[in-house]
Amino acid sequence: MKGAQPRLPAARVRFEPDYPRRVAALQLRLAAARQSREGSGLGGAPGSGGDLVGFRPYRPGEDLRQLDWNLLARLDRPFVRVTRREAGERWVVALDGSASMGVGPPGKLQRAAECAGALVALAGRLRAEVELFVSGGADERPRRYPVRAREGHAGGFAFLEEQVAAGTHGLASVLRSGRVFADAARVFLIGDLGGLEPREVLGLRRGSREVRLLQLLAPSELEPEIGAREWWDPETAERLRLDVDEARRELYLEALEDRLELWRGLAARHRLGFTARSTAEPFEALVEELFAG
Amino acid sequence: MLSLVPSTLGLVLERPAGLALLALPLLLWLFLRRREEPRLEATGLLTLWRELAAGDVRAAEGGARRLTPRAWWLVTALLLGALAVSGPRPERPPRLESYELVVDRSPSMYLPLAAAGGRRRYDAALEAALTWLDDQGVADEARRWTSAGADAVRGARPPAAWSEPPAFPAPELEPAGFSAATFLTDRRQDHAGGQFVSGGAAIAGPIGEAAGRAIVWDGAALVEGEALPPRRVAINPRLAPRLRRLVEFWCAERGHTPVSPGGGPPSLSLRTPEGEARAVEAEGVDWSLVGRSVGLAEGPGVWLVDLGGAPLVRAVAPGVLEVGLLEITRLGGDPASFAVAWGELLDASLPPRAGAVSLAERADAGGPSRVEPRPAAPGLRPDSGWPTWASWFALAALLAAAVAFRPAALGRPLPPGAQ
Repeated sequence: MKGAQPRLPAARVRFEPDYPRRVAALQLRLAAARQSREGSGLGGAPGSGGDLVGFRPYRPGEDLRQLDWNLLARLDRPFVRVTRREAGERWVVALDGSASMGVGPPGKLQRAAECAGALVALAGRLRAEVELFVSGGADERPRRYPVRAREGHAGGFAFLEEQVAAGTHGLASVLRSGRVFADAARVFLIGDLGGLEPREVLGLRRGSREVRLLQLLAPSELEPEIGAREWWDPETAERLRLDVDEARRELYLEALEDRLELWRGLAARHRLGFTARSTAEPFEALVEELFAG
Repeated sequence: MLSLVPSTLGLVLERPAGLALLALPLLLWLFLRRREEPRLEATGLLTLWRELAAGDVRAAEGGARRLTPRAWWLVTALLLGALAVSGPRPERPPRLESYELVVDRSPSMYLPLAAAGGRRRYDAALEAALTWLDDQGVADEARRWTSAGADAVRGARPPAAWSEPPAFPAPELEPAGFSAATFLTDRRQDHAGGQFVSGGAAIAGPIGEAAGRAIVWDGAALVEGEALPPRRVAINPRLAPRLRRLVEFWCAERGHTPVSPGGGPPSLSLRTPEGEARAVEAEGVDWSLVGRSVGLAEGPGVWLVDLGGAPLVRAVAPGVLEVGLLEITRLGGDPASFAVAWGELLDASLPPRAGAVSLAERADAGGPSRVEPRPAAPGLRPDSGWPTWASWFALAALLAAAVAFRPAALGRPLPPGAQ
C-alpha cells in the first residue's frame, strides 16, 4: 500500500567548507603514490595521441586509429602504437542520480558527488579532461558537464552540488548513450548499480580503456538493523512490511553477498575495476580505492 | 519445600518462592514479542527484501515479532536464573549415618518458651531437630532417640509419650557421656556434639512446698503460697512390719497421711505383689538385711536387689513403689543408714505436686541456638556426589547471559572482495 510519499533522507549534495582542502590533500597523496609506482611523472598515463614510446599487440575492440598499418603490412600481425600523451586523456565520470541514491545517511549521491569532485580535481592535475554525467533527475534526462583542464575544477564542483537524487533512471541510462564514452581512456561509474546489467558495463570496454565501478551502499543497506521495518523504494514508491530479525538479516546479507560476488566475478574475468563500499567511509578512502586499485 | 515432579525428575526446591522470578523471563518474552510500529526506511535494495519475503510465510503474518537468538538467550538466562534461585536439588536418598539424639526431659522442657505461655520448649527443640534431620535426608532408622531413664528407640521422631513429663524424675544425663550425641534441650550445654537449644524465658510459679504450704517463685523472690492438702500414702498391709513402721514414721515426719489401699488415689502407693515368699539377703550402704520376699518383675526403676540380683524394690510408675519384702528377720549394719536410705527413696518416689518445678528449672534458659549435629556412626553419604543443581543452573544462566550480551559484531566489514 502506498502512503504519502516520504522525503528522501539524503537527496541533496552539499560539500562541506573543508571539502576543497581535503580534495587537495588527496590529490597530493594520489599523485605521490602514482609517481612512486610509475616513476615517470604526472603525465605517465599511456593513451591515444602523443610521443611514440613503442608497440604492443593489438587487442580486439581497440581503437583502430592506434593500429600501426606499416607493421601490419610488414609482419602481417596487428600492433598498436603506445604513446606518451601530450595534452592529457579524457575521462568520463558517470554518477547515478536516481532517487535510490538519496538513501542514507550518509547519502549515496552525496558520497558519489564527493568522489566525482575528487576525480575532477585529480584529472586536472594530470592534465586530463573530464566529462561528468549524472543520470536520473526530475526530467529523467542525464545531465552533462565537461570539465576542461584549463578551467579548474570549481565548475565541476558547482555542477555536482546542484544534483538532487530523483527519478528512476540509473547509470544504465547513461551507458545507453554510447557516444558519451567514445574516446574516453577512463570511465568511472559511481552509484548503487541498481538496475544496471553487467552486459551493459561490458559494452564499455574498448582497447586499453579502464572501466572502474564504485558501488556505494548506505549503512542501512549493508548492515540493516534489527527491528520492525517498512522498506520503501524511493524510485518505485513500493513499500514492504518486513521485520528484520537475526535470521532474516543473515539471509539478506547472503543475498547481497551473492549479488556483489556476481559483480566481482565479472570484474575479474573482464579486467574491470570494481569495488563496493559503504557511504559511511570518507570519500578519500573510496577514491584511493577507485583510482589506485 | 516443594516437590518438583518427584516421580520423574526427583527434584525438590529449597526455595519455592524463587519460582516467582519466573515472571521476569515471561514478562521479557511478552515485551519482546509485543507488536512494534515499523520504522519506514528507504532502500535501493528492495528487490532483495522482496525476494526474502517471497519465501517467508512469516512476512505475511505481520503479527508479533519474532524473537532474535539474542533475546532467546536472554530469556533462557533469566529462566535458568530463576530456577537457580529456587534451589533445585534431587530428593536425596536417605543418609546412612546414624545420629544419637538425646532428648532432655527435665521439668523445664515442659515449661513454655515465654512467660506469657504458649509453645513449650520441648516442642521447639524437637521441631528444630526434626527440620534439620529432614533437610539432611537422615533416614528414620538412622535416628536413635535417647532419654534419661528410657530405652533408646529408632524412628522418625521420639516416642509420643516423651512429649509429656516423665512419670518419675530420671537421673540427669551427663553430656560428657554422649560426646557424639546431639542434645535436644532448653539451655546451652557444655557439650562438644550437636545441640538444638530451644531457650526460654524465666517462668514464675510453684517450686515446692513447706509446712503444708506452697513455695512460689514470683520471678524475683520466693513467697509463701496457698495451703496444700496433705499427701496420701497407701501402704499395703502385707509389707514387712518393720518397713511399714518406717513408712508411717516418714509420713508423720513429712506431714503425709498413711491410708489403706482402695481409699482413693494416693500420692504414693507401696504395693506388694502376690506371690510365694522366699528367703532373701540384700545389702545397702552401711546396712544389710535378711528376710523373705516375693519376686518382682524385671524392669527399670529397680532400687534394691538381693544377692542373686533379683529385684526386691522397684519404682514402677510415678508414685508407685513395688516392695516385695514381706518380712525382715535381721537388719545388720547401721540402722540409721537403713532409715535414711529408705527415707530418700520415699522422698524421691513421691511425685511433686502438679505444677511444681524447681527454681533452677524455672530460671532463664537464654535464647535458642543450634550446633550442627554430627553423625555418631559415620557411613556412606550417597548424596555427597550429587551435583549441586542450583550451581549448575546458575552457571548455565551465566553462560546464557554471556551469549546474550556478547559483543555485537562491530561494523560488519564490507563484503569480502570489496577492496
